[in-house]
Amino acid sequence: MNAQEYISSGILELYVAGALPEAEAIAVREAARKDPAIQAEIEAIEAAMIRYAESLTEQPDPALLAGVMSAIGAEQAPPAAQVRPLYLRAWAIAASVLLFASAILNLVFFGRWQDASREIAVLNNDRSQIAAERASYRERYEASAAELELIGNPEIRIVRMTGQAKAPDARALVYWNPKTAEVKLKTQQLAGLEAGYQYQLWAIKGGQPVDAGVFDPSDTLLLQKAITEGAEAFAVTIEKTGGSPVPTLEQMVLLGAVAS
Amino acid sequence: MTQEEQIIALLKKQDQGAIPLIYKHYGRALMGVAEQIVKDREMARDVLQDSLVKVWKYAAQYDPAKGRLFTWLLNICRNTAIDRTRTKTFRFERSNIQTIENVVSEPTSAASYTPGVEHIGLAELVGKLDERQRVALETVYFGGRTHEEAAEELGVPLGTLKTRIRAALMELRKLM
Repeated sequence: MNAQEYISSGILELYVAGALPEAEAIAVREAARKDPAIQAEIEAIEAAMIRYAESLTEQPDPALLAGVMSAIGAEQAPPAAQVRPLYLRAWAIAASVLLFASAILNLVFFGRWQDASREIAVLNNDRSQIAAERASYRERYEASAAELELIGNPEIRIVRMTGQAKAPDARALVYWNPKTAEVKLKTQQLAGLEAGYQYQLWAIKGGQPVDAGVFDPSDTLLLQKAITEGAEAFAVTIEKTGGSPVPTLEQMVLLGAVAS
Repeated sequence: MTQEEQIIALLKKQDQGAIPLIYKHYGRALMGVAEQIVKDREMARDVLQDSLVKVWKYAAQYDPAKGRLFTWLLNICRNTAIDRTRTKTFRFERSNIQTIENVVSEPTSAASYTPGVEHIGLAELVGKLDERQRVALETVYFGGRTHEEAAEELGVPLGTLKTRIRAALMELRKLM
């Protein structure tokens, strides 16, 4: 199609009116670019259309443009920039509240945990005390039971030794079985000795002292050296650690005769 | 650089300076198109305002290869105006306006508008255009119809329609 054909076809009017399909519009533009006559015709048609449209109304008021500018000014700030911070702020507030609540709960639970730990420590301590007491009672019960057995045994001779001039309040019992030669000693209210000294038990046979072993003061029954039949009395002296072959008579603290 | 090229360059750069230039060069013509479609000056004003906001919003979509800038602006404005005529509010208002028009017996031709001083002569002449030429021109121009659609709507052969449009535009250009 040459320039004159284009101009007389009516296509250019439709082109300016926006009534051409896209492919045809692109073809018209190409033709206009190559041929200044077509370009001039298009511009003339457009000018006529604009003048015609303008004749149908008055110049719009400047407030219209101001309205458009403020509208696009508002639209230009990305809506996300306004909405998102609110969104984020809501999350931030929620997160802060949760963090604060979490911190409070941490304190509460830490406090409770500490209390619980303290209670457990106390209970453990009580428990070991009770266990120790229980062991101690058991020991004393066993000792008492053993002592009661000795008391109930007709073969046993019970010798009650009493304090001498050196220790008037001292007491001790000797459970002696002449048949088995077993000697058991139960001390009562014997004072502790300074380092390097021990008590020593003696059996008196025919007026002669026989060593029955050294001991330290104790609540329990102490098994001493065997003493065969024939002892008339038992005595306790303070001797150097390990004991002496013969008693130091000035150091006698206890003495008791065997009941005949 | 022509005004048109300057506006296209600004639109491409997403420069808001394009909008006042569009308003200055095409505002009144677009207003005329809108007013011709919605038949109400206040509503035409709203249509133009909405259209210019859309122009800014879709600035990146304008492709000079596919058509003239004015054609693109015209399409946006025409579609906005036609959309407006399809709302319930519009129909209600139109029916009221027409009732009033009927009462005062005012003609509704282009000549009945009150154009600006410099256009008085032109408007009078437009009013004197051959009625058939004017209708053919406006059907394509304001209705956004293709040749074929316009011909069918007006009940004339395609060749006749083209001739009438051509004649109308020739006449207009002569008058200007």
